[in-house]
Parts: sequence; C-alpha cells; structure tokens
Amino acid sequence: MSILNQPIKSAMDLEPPPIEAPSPFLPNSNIQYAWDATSISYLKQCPRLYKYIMIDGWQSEGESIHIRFGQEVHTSLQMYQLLRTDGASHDDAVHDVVLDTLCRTYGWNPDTETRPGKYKNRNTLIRAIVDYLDKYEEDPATTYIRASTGTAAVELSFRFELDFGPRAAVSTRDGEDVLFQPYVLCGHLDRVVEFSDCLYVMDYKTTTSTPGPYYFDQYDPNNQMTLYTFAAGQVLEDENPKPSPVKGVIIEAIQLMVDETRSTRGVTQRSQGRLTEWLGDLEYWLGMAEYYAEVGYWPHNDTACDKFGGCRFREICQKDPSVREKFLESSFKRGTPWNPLQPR
Amino acid sequence: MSTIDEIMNKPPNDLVVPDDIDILVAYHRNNRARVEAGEKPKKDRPKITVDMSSIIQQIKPTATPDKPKFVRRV
Repeated sequence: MSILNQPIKSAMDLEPPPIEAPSPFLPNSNIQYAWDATSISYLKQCPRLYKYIMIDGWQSEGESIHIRFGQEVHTSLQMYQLLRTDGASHDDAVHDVVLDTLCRTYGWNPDTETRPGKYKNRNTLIRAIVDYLDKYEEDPATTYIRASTGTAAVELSFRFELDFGPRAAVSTRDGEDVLFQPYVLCGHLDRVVEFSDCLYVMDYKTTTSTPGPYYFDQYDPNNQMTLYTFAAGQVLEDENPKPSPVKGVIIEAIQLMVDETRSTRGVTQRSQGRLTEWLGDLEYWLGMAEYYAEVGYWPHNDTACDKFGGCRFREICQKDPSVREKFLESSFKRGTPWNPLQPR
Repeated sequence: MSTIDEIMNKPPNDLVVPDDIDILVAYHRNNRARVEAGEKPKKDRPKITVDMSSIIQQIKPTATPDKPKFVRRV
C-alpha cells in the first residue's frame, strides 16, 4: 500500500500510553542520581534555578510552548529520516510527515498574540518542517546505519552508569564500601550521521535569533554538546565493525521568523582529552549537587541571571526572600518536575 | 476562513488525503519561493465579502486628492 493511501490515524491512535518513569532521585531524598544534559546545565548555571525546576517543578506557560514545539520538530524530523531509510521518496516522506504532524498537533493552539506563540505555533511548525526537509533533500550528512542492528541511528536513547556515585549510595558490607547506585547519564541523541568520513551527532535547534558565528560560539564549550559526543561514543562502542570515533556535534539551527524559516548548519568538535576532562569535572559538580541536597539549600548564582537570554526566574529572585514563594505561585505553575528517565 | 486555515483546523479524520496535504505543502513551498525571489510573502487572507466592502466604504477617508490641503509653513 502506498504511504499516502494508508488510513489516517486519529490523534488518539497517535497518543502513546503514558509510561511512568522511575524517579531520578535516591529514595526519600533530593539527591539526584540520573542526570541528563538539561539537569546538569541547570545545576551548573545556578543551583537555585536547578532547585526551582528539578526539585520544586515550577514551570511557565511560555516554556511549555517551547518544549512542545521542540518535541514536535524532533518527532517530525525523526519520522522523515526513518521513512527515507526505509526507501520512501523525499516527497512521499514530506507528505507523510506533514500529515502525521497535523494529526498529532490537532488541538494544540498556542496564543499567537504572545511572543512564544507568534513564532511557535502549528503553522510555523509545518512551515519549518517543509522548509528544512526541502533544503536538505540531498544531504551530504547521511544517517549512520548501525552495524549491530542494521537500523538507522535516529532518536537514540542512551543510559549508562558511571564508575562513581553519590556518597549516600555507598554502604559498607563486610568492611568494604559498596556503591549500590552509581550516577547514570541519560538522554536522547537526535541522529548520528556520517559526514566527511567521520561520525557526528546531529542536534536540531529551533531559534528566533540569527544563527551566525556568535550563535554557534555558544556550543563550544557547551555541556550538552560535550555530553552528546561522549554519549554517542558509548552507545556505538559495541558496534562491530567499530565505526570511526565520534568527532562532535553538527548543530542544525532552524531559525523561525514571522514570514519564513532559515536553516544553518554549524559543527563543534571535541577531542578525547576534552571529553575526559569534562567527565572529571562532572564528578565535582555532582558532588556539589549532593551536598546542596544534604544541607537542603541551593545557593543563588547571581552572575548567571542575564545569561542565556535572561533567566526565567530573574524577576522572582529580584523579590525579597520572604515573598518569593508567593510570586512563584502567581507567575508559575507547579507541575511534574523534569525527569531525565522519562522515555520518549 | 482561508483554505489553509480550514485545512489546519480540520480534525484528523476530516483531512482529505493526499489533496489537503498537497495544498499545504505547495502553499509553504510557494511562499518560500516568493521570499527567495525577494518578494514579501503573501498572507493567505480571506476574500473580502460584499458586506465587508460596504463597511470599508463607510470608514474610508472622505478627502479626495483634488481637495486643497492646508499646509502650515514654519
């Protein structure tokens, strides 16, 4: 049956059943053992920001639009790559992806009078997908096909244990210290590609700013890109024959404007020495996180408030500590905190 | 409501496949071609109905080009 003649799935059919993820925290504590790029970045940026999001679960309305839009872009581009790997033509794959995206997002109507909704809504989503896929119809970066499984390396979830863990997860048995819960690094790689005879992780970013050299500079050094390079190496370690080492990340910046979409590609590389150094530093950072959880206090980093386009909690931190909670309640909603172990 | 808006607002089971998707993809591709050619993309606006036209007539400025304009020289 042609791809286009297949029965239309309803939004209900497309909704995956919710899967309850295990807690990323050690039982009855705020000590996080499972970490992804997002939660590590919060911690490094500002411990108070980390607490507000990862422990308290404060979320803003605008933020949910960004998250939903990003997820939909990822889902659509992932579907396209899988269809192409299965032999579908570019046009058939684009049509299928647009149809699926329309069905999946039916009922999602961000307020286009707000800034997030003006740039990130169903219409700009469909436009971004069509424009991006058309631009890279003949892409020199090709999806890596895993030697071990024969499957396309698209939306690869990773989860692996480190050889160190929280101090609270060490117990003494027969006079010896035993680590019963090491730290876990987890996340999702959008795609692994072969480009110029090397392997790279490909990561999709949507932005409303112009992706020039200044934009791409933010990804080197960058916690997420280093973790992804490291993780891809771990994921592909057992491949046989062993592929060439993962060099870094290709960043696909999809710029959303009111009337058009532009895509620009940037490359950031990581040497093995830098990856090892990053992992060594991480042990110190996670040790700090455990300490904050033990004392029940997450200090404010007031040198980061204006970074990354301005912290979303900046106005909260401008308030006196005695009234801060009240302002949080009026400006944010408390939801389920971000969980790195939540499967996609 | 424009054709594009109608397609965008259709429940999944009401979508006409592949026609609706063809229209939507062609709309975005045409808009992109116009932008690349240096044109400002045309918004897919609804046609003005007779009723709307009469309202526009009512609110149009009454001044005509040959009517003298007052200019204050400083």
